[in-house]
Order: sequence, then structure tokens, then C-alpha cells
Amino acid sequence: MRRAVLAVIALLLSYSSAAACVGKTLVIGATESPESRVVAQVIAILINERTGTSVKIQDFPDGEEIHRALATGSLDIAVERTDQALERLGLGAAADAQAAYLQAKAGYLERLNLVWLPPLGPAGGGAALAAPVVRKDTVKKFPALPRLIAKTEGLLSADVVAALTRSGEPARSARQFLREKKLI
Amino acid sequence: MKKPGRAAILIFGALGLAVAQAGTPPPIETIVWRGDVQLAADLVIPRGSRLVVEPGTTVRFGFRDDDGDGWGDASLRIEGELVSRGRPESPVVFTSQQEPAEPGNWGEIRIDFGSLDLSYTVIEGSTRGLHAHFSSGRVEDCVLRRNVDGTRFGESSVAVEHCLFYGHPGKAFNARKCRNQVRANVFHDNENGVFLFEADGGSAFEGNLFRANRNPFRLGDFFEGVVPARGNDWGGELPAAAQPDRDSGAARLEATSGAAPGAGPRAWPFWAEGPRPGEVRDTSPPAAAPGGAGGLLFQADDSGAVRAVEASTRRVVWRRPLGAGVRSEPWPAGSTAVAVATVGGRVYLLDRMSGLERDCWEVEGETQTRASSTPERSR
Repeated sequence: MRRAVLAVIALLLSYSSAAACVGKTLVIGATESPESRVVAQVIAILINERTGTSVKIQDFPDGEEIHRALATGSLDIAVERTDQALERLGLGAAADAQAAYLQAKAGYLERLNLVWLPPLGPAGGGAALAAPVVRKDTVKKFPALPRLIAKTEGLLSADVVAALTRSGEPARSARQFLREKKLI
Repeated sequence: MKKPGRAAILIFGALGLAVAQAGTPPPIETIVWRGDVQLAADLVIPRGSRLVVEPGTTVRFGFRDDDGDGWGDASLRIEGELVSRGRPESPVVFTSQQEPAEPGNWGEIRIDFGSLDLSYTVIEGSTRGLHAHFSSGRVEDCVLRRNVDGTRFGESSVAVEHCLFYGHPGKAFNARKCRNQVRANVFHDNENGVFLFEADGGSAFEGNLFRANRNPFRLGDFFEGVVPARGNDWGGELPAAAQPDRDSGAARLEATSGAAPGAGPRAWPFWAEGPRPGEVRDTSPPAAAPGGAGGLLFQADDSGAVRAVEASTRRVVWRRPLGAGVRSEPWPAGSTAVAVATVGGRVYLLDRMSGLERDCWEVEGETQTRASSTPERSR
């Protein structure tokens, strides 16, 4: 009897009870900024709730590291700004936000095999737009993913994101936001 | 059965009773739980072990939030066998240490490469409910209520029959690539009744009753294939759109209507017709004095609880916290239950003798009219 009890006790370990299910897992990159974290949570919860696919949020020190990981295949999804994207592509400033988005989208697809999805909304600190960017091979594996993430189009402007960060609980705020928008 | 050794008592002192049964064929080691079992930390029942939970056992999980999402993660993990067979009058209850249990108070019962055999078992207040991968077994006459998700089955084969699912803000029944038998269950007042992810391996969904769910039957955004759901009582129109805002034709639900006369737990009194969307239910007591039959008086107290008091001795027989103020004194609901309405907009159906929750539903609006028929059925 003692053997049985001890066998159980030996496994009284703090194993991860993460919600991850067996199957495919998508990885989203985020920095430690509250804005980045809450946007990553919105996308992660949207995907997980509506598809059952597990989504992992991976932390990076800055946007450049995230971009590098996305370009080299360590990440599936990231959120980028059009102004920074044009800079990476070596392109000058565009005439307006929409033109910048279209230039970034075309350049990323042609040179990096990265797919820009519809913009979340205006990014803070200028006329740039923020938009989810997904690897082309990820889109091939998950053909319904662009359509799903596109449901966030125009919903996450800098002001909205700032409001979502106020609670200091990005996961909870993100979930509440998606519920209010009737997306989950 | 041996008595627990000193080590067991020391280690499981907070867990109630845990003993290994002698004389069972190796290599299965049996652990038995009875009484009140408190789980403050995660617990793993390893491969080659069987956890037997006896009728009347209540397992209470503490709150621990690992990932900051506000939902509890404390869990019981089964890698062997889970046998939880309660009785209608003394079910096994998996719940939270917090009363009343609300969605997300604790994590899940997780079964990996194992088996499950559950009957008359209540699972309430969890985040992920009954969460099984590559497992098989049966879940019969059980009640899953007010979990975030009632089940998460992945690549498993489970017979889920005569169960009652209600009050889930996520998915009451949630599965992916399974071959389940989902028959004669009642789904009411859930955000999603049945939710299938990615694909289905040939499950059957028949003879179930759906009422007042936002989406009775939904296919996930990545789902591809055709799902037959024939002969279910949808309470009106067929669920025309499996995915309300999905514009792909890759997934299709083939639903037909049928009667579900035997749906729900057997010998378990609950509301005969789950409330329909927009329907107003009575939450006011009848004109006559509230219930005092059987020598018991039923009273609401100021702390949002209901109690049964022995009329002759004033002894409190049971007390049930409801988490919200009570709108009126409880009233009799059939011969075996009392009904009580809270200011939070819920009506509870409680067992007259034990206070056990038999059913619960949300009401809309402040003005209710009494339902014309008896609010109870018992099989």
C-alpha cells in the first residue's frame, strides 16, 4: 500500500496544466511592453477559442528580434508596424497610411515570404498602421487562419490597446474585449 | 481493504482518505477517495493506477492561476483509470473550495492515454472540465455545470449519455478528432452546446435536447467535413449556421429534428423543459406559504444562502450558499425539490432533503410569471 501511495506522491509535481491540447501549435511573438502583450493575447485567445488550436506567446526583447524570428521560421505570427516595415525593406515613406500598408505587404511577400493581414488599426506615435504578419508556410498549413485573424481588422487602434492595458491583466482584458465584440 | 498507513495519513491528511486496495490483480494499484477531499496542489495518478471515487465524495480544488488569465489551473491528472460512480441521491462532486463554484475556480480533470468511467458525477466551477486525450470510456448520468468548458476531448472515444450540461460560458461539450457517442443529453443555457474543432472521427450526436444555448451546435473555424447530428430536439428551428459568422463552405452540419424524451440524467429531478431564449420563468413564490412539507422549513438568509430547518427542533439540516441575494423565500417544486430565485437572475432547483443543486437557469427581466406546469420531472 505504501508503495502505491508513494508512487502517487512522487508525482505530486507542479506539472504544467496549460490548456495546450494535442495537435498543432502556433507561436506568436511579443515584447514585454503592455501593448504588445495585450495584442498578442487578443490574437492568441481568438485563435484558441475559435479553433481549438493551441497558441503559445513567446517573449522577445524587442521588435527587431521578433521580426528576425518570424523571418527565419521560429515564429508563426507577429504584429508589425508599417513604418518600421518600410524601413526594413529600405523603402522611403509612403504617401499615406494605406499606401504604406500596401507597400509593406507587397515587399514582405516578395522578399520574405511573409503575409500581411488586414491592419488592426493606427499604431501609436505617427501615421503608421499595425497589422498581423504571418509566415506564408503557416498560411499554407492553416488556410483559414487569415480569415480568422482578419476579424480583428480595425478593432485594435492604439487608443483601444492603451485602454486594454490599464487593468494590468492582458489575458483577462483580451478575453473580455473579444467577448464584447462577440468574437468568442 | 487495508487501512491507510501512517505515511498515507500524513501525506493525505488534507485529502481525506486514500488507500490502496489489497488483493487486486497487479499491476493496477487502486486509490480510493471518500468523504471530503481537499486538493491544494496538482495531483497525478500515474499509469498503472486506478482512482476510485466513492458515492457521496466531494473533491474540492483550491484556486491557483498559473498564467494570469484569471482562471484557476489546479488540476487532477489521470494517466491510468478514473472510476467515479456516484448515485442520484449521493453523487460524486468535483468542485471548488469556493462556494458557490463558478466558472474558472479550478483547472481540470485531465486524462491522458487513460480511461474514464463516470456516472452520477457532478463537475462544476472548473476551467476546462473533463479534459481527455487519447482516452476512452463512458460518462453517464453526469452533470457538468458552470465550467468555462465542460469537456475537452481530443482523439478519444467516449460514450457521453444521459448527461446534463448547463451554465457554461465557453463550450459545454468540446471535442476534436474524436469518435464519441453523444446521446440523450440535455444542453441548456450554454454559450455553445456542442463545439467541434478541426475534424471529427465519426462521432454520433443523437437524441439530445438543446434549449437556450447561444449556439446549440458549432463547428470551429478550422473545421472541415460534414457532421451528422440527426434526431435531436433543437427546441424549434434547426441550427442553420454551424458557424454564425463563418463564410466557408468547408464545414457542414447536417441536422435533423427528433424527439428526445429520455434525455438527461435518469432518476435525477430537473426542469422538464429547459428555458427557451427570451422565455420568462416564474421566480416569485406561490400565493400559499412557502414550503414546509416533510417537517422542513426553507429559508433564505442575509448572506445569500438558503437553508433547510427542521420545523420541530429548528435544527439546520442543510445550508446552500448561492453567491447572490435571494429574491424571495424558497418555494416547493414538486415533491422532492425547492426552487429559489436570486437577485443575480438565476433560479436554482435544490434537492429538498440535501440541498444538492439539481438544475439552474438564468431568467431575463424583473417581471416573471409562474410556469403553468410542474417545474420538475423525475425518472
